[in-house]
Amino acid sequence: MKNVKSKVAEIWTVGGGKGGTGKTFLTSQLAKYLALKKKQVILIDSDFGGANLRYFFNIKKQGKSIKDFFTNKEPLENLLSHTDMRNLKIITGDYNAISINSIKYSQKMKFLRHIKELDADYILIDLGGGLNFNTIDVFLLADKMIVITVPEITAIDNLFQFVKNAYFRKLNFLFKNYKLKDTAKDIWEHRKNYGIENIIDLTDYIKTKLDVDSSISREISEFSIFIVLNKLKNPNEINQGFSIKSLCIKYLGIPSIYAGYIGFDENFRKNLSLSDYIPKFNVSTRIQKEILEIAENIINKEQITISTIKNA
Amino acid sequence: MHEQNYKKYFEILELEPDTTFSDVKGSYLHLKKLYSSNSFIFSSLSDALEKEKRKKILGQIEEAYAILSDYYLSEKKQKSQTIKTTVSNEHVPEFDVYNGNALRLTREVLGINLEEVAFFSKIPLQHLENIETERFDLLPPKAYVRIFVRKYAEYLSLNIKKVTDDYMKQYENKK
Ligand SMILES: Nc1ncnc2c1ncn2[C@@H]1O[C@H](COP(=O)(O)OP(=O)(O)O)[C@@H](O)[C@H]1O
Ligand SMILES: [Mg+2]
Repeated sequence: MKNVKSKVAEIWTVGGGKGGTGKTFLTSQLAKYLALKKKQVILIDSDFGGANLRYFFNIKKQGKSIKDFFTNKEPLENLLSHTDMRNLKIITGDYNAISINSIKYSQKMKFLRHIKELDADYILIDLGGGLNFNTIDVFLLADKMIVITVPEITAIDNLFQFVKNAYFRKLNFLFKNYKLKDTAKDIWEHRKNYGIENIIDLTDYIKTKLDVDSSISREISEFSIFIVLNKLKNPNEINQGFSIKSLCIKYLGIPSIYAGYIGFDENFRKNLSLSDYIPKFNVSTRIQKEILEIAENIINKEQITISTIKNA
Repeated sequence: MHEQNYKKYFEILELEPDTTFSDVKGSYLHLKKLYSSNSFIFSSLSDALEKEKRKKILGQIEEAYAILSDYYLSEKKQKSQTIKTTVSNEHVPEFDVYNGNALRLTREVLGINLEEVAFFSKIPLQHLENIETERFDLLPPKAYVRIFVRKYAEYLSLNIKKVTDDYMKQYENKK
């Protein structure tokens, strides 16, 4: 990289498996909130299948997009579009140009490397749905991995599958990095032979029985997720976030933080232009308070508890 | 207390060690309900339905709650004098007379914050605040107050008639 970076950006990714749960909406709002806190923010639309982040910012299609990185080898920093907030810039996606399955391994690695080299305080990445490993690899790039779901069984199921897949993928990376001859998948597939029943056992096995570097167990322990529940229509549904968190902890063995929830908002439909929906982030509407709470919890690694949000 | 000794129990209840008793209680009740239920959420995880595993988890949750509530109760006894001693199963106190303070205490024991009540009951937050602090001068006309208190009592699963009657009596007297 030619220019010397002034800071190391913190990367947040938003995934979750299912489409339509609000990934793009949440990513855009978190980015706006961080920008309002006077942080330099870069937002990347990495949903190769359904890039639509630009609609939340009213950005016209003519400009450069991520496509120029993959097809014309343009550096990422040349692809930044401006928004109406000075310290928030976007790299828009382009779903006509690239298919997620056609991205070559070397291209992907370069993409991941270049994201890390962008100059910002925060880099937020919006992901597509599905369990495609290219999507998961971008998800794993983050310092803070966020998953969002709605209170419906299909979406929650997708979330568990997504988290599980991401975790296995992470284990495989670690095994490769530390040059272990078996893969996590090998052990998992023959788990009976190892006396392993579930993912928690697997993690224990790797940490204690395999003769691994202590850094591998540290990296495993550091794998954690933030959970957000969206489109709630009823107060009871808030609790589903605690249930999801609990299952992630007790069945997948993954440290999880329930960062917050967002109520279903009828106004969405009435606003034709998404960018008008929340033009300025003054903390007055309910949904803005909810986003604020989520953002602060992610920043501080704090969680909401049953006594819901701290007493106002 | 030695933080270290208790850390494990907070972890079982999926909480940070510096949390409040109302969180401990809330989390305990939630987890207990979850793991004794057949919540649809379990159908997602293949090994999740194993009876043995759930039983083990339930046992750990009970143990953690028993130990932590002992700790909190001994530490915080003095604080709860305002609450009448008849504590029901759910530890929700009953009051002789429901005034603003009683509503607030009930809400706090249930571990609900005002924003949540406002969110779901659609009662404006500042009215809820004024109801709890009995700033009758700032509240809207009587008929509205009655509706708000009613909704609030309903949200807290209290005896709606008793709460509204009690509260409105004070409203008349003091206004
Ligand atoms: N809290 C909410 N209330 C109502 N509609 C919402 C909410 N969050 C998102 N939506 C709407 O749901 C749709 C899907 O959201 P989007 O962010 O595009 O999901 P994803 O990126 O996960 O596919 C959009 O039309 C969006 O405006
Ligand atoms: Mg999207």
